[in-house]
Amino acid sequence: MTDDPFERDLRSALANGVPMAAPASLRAVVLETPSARPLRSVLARAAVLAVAALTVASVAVLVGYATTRPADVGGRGGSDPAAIRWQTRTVSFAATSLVIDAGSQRFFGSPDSIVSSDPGSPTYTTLEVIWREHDTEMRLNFYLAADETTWWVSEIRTYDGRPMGEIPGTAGSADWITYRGTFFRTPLGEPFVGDVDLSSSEGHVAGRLRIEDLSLSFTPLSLSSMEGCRPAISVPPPGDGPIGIQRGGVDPELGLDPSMTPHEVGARLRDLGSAIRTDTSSLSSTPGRSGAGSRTGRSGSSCMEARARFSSSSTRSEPRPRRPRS
Amino acid sequence: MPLTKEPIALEGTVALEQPVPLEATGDRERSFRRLLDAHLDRSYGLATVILGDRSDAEDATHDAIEKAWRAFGDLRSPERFESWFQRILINVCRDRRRARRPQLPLPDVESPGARQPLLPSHERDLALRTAERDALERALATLGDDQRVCIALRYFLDLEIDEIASRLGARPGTVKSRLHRATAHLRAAYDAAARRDPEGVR
Repeated sequence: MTDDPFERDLRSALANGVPMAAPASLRAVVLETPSARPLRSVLARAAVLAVAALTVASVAVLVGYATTRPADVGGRGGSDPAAIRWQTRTVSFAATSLVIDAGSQRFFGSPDSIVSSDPGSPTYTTLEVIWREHDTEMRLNFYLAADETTWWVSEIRTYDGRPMGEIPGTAGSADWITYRGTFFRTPLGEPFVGDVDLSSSEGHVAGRLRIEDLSLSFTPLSLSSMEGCRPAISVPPPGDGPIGIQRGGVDPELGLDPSMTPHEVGARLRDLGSAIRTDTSSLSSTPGRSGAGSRTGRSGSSCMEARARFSSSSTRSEPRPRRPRS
Repeated sequence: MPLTKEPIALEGTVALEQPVPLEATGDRERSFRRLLDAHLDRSYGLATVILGDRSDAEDATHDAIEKAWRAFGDLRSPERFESWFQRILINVCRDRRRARRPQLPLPDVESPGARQPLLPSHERDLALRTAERDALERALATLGDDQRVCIALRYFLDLEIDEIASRLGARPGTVKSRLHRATAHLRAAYDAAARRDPEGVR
């Protein structure tokens, strides 16, 4: 225990009024669980095909990114429609180009991005993207908010391109450039569509953020989308775009992790003795070994049926998204 | 001064090694409850410190339990449960704080220049301690979300820097920076109160 009276009093002030034990109601929280058959029965059935990674509490999805990069610093991030797509359970981002100016450096993004969201609540979520460019880490964060009728972005942050140091904010260490305001206010349920050109001096270096043909949408987290659901899910054939995000819970028997790539999902399913098929139109379960497939949801269930969303531009030649290894 | 707010990383992505073996539903629930029971009191206390209100803390902890249960399959190592669950809980608490209306500033205990009545020496000591505590509590109420969470993790749960960083998904340097600024702010208020003479003479 410290001899510093300040620390003693601080600890005492923090603990003041805090009960020693949690209320009994918290120990009695009802944990709703979709009925699940034991894993053995899944294997024994041999008639089940399973599919894409889904939501549990958090999902990270890699994005297709245009292979075309500008040859000069003034170029666009890509000429293909929707060259950039970032998708999580709560946020959808698509744009034809992204340019981040941080001091004297310019960043365009990378196919090897880690995309994630704080699923937050019906009134808050984030979109957080991390990648390496110019041999340093860049981050782009959107902080989204909503009220009863509209949603907006309350803050955007990027890293400032400086090298990572021990303590941010100290000389030479990477820190944030912050763009504050009420951006993209849009009625709930609708996407924001437009171009973005923002500047900020809130940081060690000046920043500018330009996004062309942005389509940004906020799907607030809803508890009703998570309960008691055995969804039908499907995965695109190998080589196709990113896995879409679906409403509803994942069957825990499958042992699928929401952060898995399609390849990892397929490997897991093969471990279970299942297979994937290319036919995604049928919801029937069929044994076999080819392509991508689907799994039957419970008929008559009140669950929301899960639907995969694929990259809309399957004709683009873009690199297959890879999950970066930490 | 640039902010040091780090993005709160994704819930459930603390996954490390081998996945937790699949279990029948009943076993899974028992495992979850066993792990939760072991850490619930401390976690609820943490929520109370962050939110400053027991009722809010109970609601926040309830929400965190539901989220954690849904994400339980993501937890790769039961040994990480406390850190993982508290990370979820901190996210829930932060969201609640953001959603709150701005609070009115707390009234001063004493107005500038006010003179306190002369007290016996032991009561002067007690009054001084109370004044310092009051100043601390007022200063705590003015901390931003990030700093308040760091202070709670450091001085309520007695966590080390690396453990705090793990719960926040932040770099240790960021945690150090936030703690440094927060404690400097709190100590300034504390020391200012300590310099005041209970007799009212400054």
